[in-house]
Amino acid sequence: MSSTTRNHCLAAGLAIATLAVGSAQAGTPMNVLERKAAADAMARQYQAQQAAQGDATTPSANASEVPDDLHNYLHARVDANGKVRILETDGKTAPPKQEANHE
Amino acid sequence: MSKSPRLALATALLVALAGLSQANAADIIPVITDPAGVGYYDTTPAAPVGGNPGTTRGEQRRIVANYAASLWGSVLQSNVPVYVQARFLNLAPGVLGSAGAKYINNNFANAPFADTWYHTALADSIAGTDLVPGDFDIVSQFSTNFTFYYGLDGNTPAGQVNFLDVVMHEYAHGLGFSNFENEAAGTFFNDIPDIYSVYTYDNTAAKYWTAMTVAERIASGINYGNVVFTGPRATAQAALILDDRRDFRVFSPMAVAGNYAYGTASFGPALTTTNFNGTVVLGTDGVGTAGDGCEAITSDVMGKIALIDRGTCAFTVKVKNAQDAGAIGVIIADNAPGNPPPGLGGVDPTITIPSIRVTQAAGTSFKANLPLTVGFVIDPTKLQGADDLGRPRLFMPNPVQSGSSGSHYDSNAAPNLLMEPAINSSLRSYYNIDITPALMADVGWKLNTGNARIGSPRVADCDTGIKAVNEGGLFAGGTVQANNDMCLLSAQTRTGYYSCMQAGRDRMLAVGLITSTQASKMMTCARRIADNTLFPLTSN
Repeated sequence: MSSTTRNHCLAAGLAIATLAVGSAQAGTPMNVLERKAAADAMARQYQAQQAAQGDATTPSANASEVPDDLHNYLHARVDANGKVRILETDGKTAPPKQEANHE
Repeated sequence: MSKSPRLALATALLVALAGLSQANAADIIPVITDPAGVGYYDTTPAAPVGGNPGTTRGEQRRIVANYAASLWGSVLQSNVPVYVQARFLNLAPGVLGSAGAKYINNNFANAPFADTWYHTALADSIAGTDLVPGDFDIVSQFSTNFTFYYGLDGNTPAGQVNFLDVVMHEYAHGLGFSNFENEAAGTFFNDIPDIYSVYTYDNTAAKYWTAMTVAERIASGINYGNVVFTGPRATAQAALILDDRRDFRVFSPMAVAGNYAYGTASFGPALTTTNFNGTVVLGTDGVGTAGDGCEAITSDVMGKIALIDRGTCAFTVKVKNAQDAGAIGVIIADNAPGNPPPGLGGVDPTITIPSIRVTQAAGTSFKANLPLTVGFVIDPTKLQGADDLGRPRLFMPNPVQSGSSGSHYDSNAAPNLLMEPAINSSLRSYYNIDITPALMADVGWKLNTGNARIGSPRVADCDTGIKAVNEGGLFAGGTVQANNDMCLLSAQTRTGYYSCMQAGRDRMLAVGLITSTQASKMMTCARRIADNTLFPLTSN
């Protein structure tokens, strides 16, 4: 995709997203098609940003991006009974190895 | 707790809810950023399952993501859309996925607490504007290497994980159900406390986390059973939802009398107040490590509860040996430190006596004071999973379980809660999210107090007469709205849409979520939509 085409797509996407957001901020919930259009527009915007320069958002002084190590990561373990257990950790670190639960 | 205080609490809550604003339900929008053919766009054929009409794996995933978004959107109010980045990726083995707020904000317009972090979607809803425009509010990613159940009916097959429950749980973290504190280090992100920690209170220290030193927070982060969430709405809802407290109690000798944490067994009968009480004595086998119960028990345990150490052989072997020696129950003392004690795994259908597991510390105390008199007691004045003041307990195991500590309800709550640190098979998040909306209200979200209204791009919203959010964490109206959104987008014909709504109605009736009168009114709205909308909707 050329940069011109990409910019046009980005502009169109942002315009749709802005319209949808404007509708919601005016106090009217979006209908399913408006939500879908907003989602598609945001996805296109994301893809364009990724292709162009990566994540371009710079939060204000009173905002901060949450580091990945504070996001909840889900881990799956199969216990001694064959049941799947879901465990969560901060970041990608695997949960500590536990002794087998059957002894 | 008797019914009258619960009714009083319910009335108080209704009054409180009535005071909330009548803003719109929130638009929560999953934004799928997977490339074509991958993840949410996986084209692998799949048979519709459990009310999910998708015919490819990717479509079923998209339907669940949107369904969860509709459910949470029906519960919460905001005039600012919430954008959730949604991806399926080839993650490391054993990793199912991750989620959380992408940004946090403080000192924004209308912020109830100064110098306090808020999840950005929550901050947007309070400020009434998008504080980090042009970017996602929540990020989520799930593994392509895991077998999820994509049904919407809660009937998850053994060995699979209910994707809707997982997504509902993870979206909740991103919306407001988490702190931004490192429990092991006792530090807040950038040394600024968060709104969740404003309500996190340690009963031992008699302090809120925001008033503690780093050293005090480190101690509190492993103070299992003694840290609670003090928000008034969560406390009020806990009284309606949690069971009466069931304690394992040592009655005598006085030196060790009191209540003790315990883990339950996956084999043998369920614990009751009548099948697990009496005298505790040591169960020894006289071979090798005498206290491990791995060989035939030789001490006199007839008619008594046998105290046996963990280790060397399976739990089922120990309990079966005690049963064969005439014991009426077994207490397994852990052989490693840690609190709370995990459960006892294993399978043996011939075991007919109950068993529990206690901590290593408790086991040591018990052995030094035998014989004990113990039993299970039901305390109708207290709640299972709450402190004596009825405030829901937060999960603070020792040692810290990074990611599980702090940002969850205690795993000893009964019934199981959506925001416990494990996704339990008993969850039914398609219509019940228990205390979670109340906690969201405490941290600053406004809850939807109106009825479910369903429409289409061509049909004005129709009032179903079904409340979006009910007492006790039920949200029948939310389920109606989520069904309508799903049926609108997936149906190819008006007949297909109406049939889809009928199927949703039948699932709700089957679990007693709506009355036949409500079902009738809902389907009247659905008929109006079917008769006046062109399908498939995307071609309108």
